[in-house]
Amino acid sequence: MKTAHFNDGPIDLSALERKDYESLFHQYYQWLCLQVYKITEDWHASEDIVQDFFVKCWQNRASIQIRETFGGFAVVSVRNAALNYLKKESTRLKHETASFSTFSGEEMPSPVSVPDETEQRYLQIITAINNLPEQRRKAFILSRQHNKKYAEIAVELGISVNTVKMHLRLAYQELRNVLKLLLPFFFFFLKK
Amino acid sequence: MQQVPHHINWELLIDLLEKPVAERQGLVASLSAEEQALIARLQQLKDDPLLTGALQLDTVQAWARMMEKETAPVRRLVGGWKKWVAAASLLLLVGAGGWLWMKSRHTQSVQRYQTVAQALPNHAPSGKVQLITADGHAIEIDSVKQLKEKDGTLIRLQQGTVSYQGGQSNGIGSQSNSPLMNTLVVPRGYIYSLVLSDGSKVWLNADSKISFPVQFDKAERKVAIEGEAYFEVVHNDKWPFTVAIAGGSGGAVKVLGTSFDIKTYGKKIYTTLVTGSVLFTPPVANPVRLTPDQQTVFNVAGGVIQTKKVIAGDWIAWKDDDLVMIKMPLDELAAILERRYDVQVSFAEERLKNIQYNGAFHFTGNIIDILNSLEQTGNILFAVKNKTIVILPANGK
Repeated sequence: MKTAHFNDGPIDLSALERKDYESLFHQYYQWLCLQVYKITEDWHASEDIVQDFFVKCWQNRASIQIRETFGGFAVVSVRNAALNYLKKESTRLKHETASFSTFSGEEMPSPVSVPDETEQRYLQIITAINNLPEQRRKAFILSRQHNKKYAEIAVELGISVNTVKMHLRLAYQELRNVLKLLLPFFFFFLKK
Repeated sequence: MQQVPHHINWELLIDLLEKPVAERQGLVASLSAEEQALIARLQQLKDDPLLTGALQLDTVQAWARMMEKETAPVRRLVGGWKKWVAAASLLLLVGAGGWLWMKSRHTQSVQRYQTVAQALPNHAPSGKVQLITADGHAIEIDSVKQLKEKDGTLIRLQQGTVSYQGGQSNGIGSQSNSPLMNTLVVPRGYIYSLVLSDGSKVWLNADSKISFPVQFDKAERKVAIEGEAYFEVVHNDKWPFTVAIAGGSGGAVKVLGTSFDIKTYGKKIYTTLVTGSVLFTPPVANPVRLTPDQQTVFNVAGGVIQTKKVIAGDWIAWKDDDLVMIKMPLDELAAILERRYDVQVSFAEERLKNIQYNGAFHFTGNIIDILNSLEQTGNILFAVKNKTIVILPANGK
């Protein structure tokens, strides 16, 4: 099982094979998009920003020196890109008379190279879910969608309702320990 | 805590998880603590819009798209339509959420909190708009369609507007020295408008008041306001229009045929000119003449006046239920929400008051909509305790 954490140590991009870079991408993509989304509040823009980062990073890999971990380096880069994007957007928005536009918090935390504990938890959850076998992962993610019935998930995946239930059960069993680790206080709350 | 999981009833658990949260309540109580904890944790994952949003992203497809990008010239980041898709997905992603997520970080203090949706469902303002007639009767505005003042002036009350029949053409109106005065009281939670007997229109923001003669004096038109009002005054060179602010202690605005906004909540009085020309006369200092898109800010306590350039439209957006925020601190926004929705808002931490927001919002009938949008910034969360909406940091420590 792949694990993602921030104690990976420095990484030498120029020595990476393309397929290694791809697995870095798979490992960090959703989590980096989440970080950017916090700033832009726009998933499409977040995906574009993160993809642009990965493209540029690959193109310039010979000259990039990463002193911290890849995750730390990446999150600072994409947050900065997101803030730049916001600045551009806010000047663009001034010329529009939209009755609804998303909010943008002005007071963004200044980027730090070591993501805090909450962010690391996010990464761990995302990693654990993405490590589930494909069908199981799909069933789990579909079941996270708003009030989706098992029958609907079964149709979407082309499997029976009972198989959906079995996938979910196995997914929950696998995620149980991760969840415990991530949300350690919840238990006390329930017991009052 | 690393016990071997014993007798988890997976059948039951899986069936329970398919039900909407509201339907689970009674059933969950009968589960073992371990089963409860598991359900709660899974729900917590589901309720986190950031996490669910991120997990929906298709990494494989993204990698493929990126490979195209690498060879193609860099394209523009966000087209116009994407904004709307984003807005739509934002609505989809907002669940009852954030709340449970927050709980895990505020274990000790949070037990008495409820979500806004739970605590304030269909929240409605507690007061009613009232019209106080010349003889001192308070009439609830939606209880009658029309009424007549003692001098014969017909008053129509409909569709969010009170209108006074003009006197000149009908030979009615006060000729005496003591005109009949009415007062329109707009409590928190409402916006109301008024057509005065000269045809001038006034919009009153929540928590505001205007006193005015049923028929204006021949020599001058005088009204008095508290709170916030936007005026569109019918132009007449020979019939001056004056607005007294906060019983005169906040000064007065002399109007020369024009539209303008006066905002008097708190310690500062803002006069913003949209069109025409007004003269702001503070109680002590020299009068200031404003040109369109100018604003005076009068600090009542200090007696200091500042004049600055603004976008006047932003300052009168409230009358159309719009909110425009430009570097607006959260405590100012909280005060607006308190008035607009008749709620109490407090801060869990003092520093949160200074978070600034840029953006625009159209107020809906339900406060939850704006709170959900604000939570999307990732900086803050809302919960309810003792009927007060509490603003908490999103990254609780």
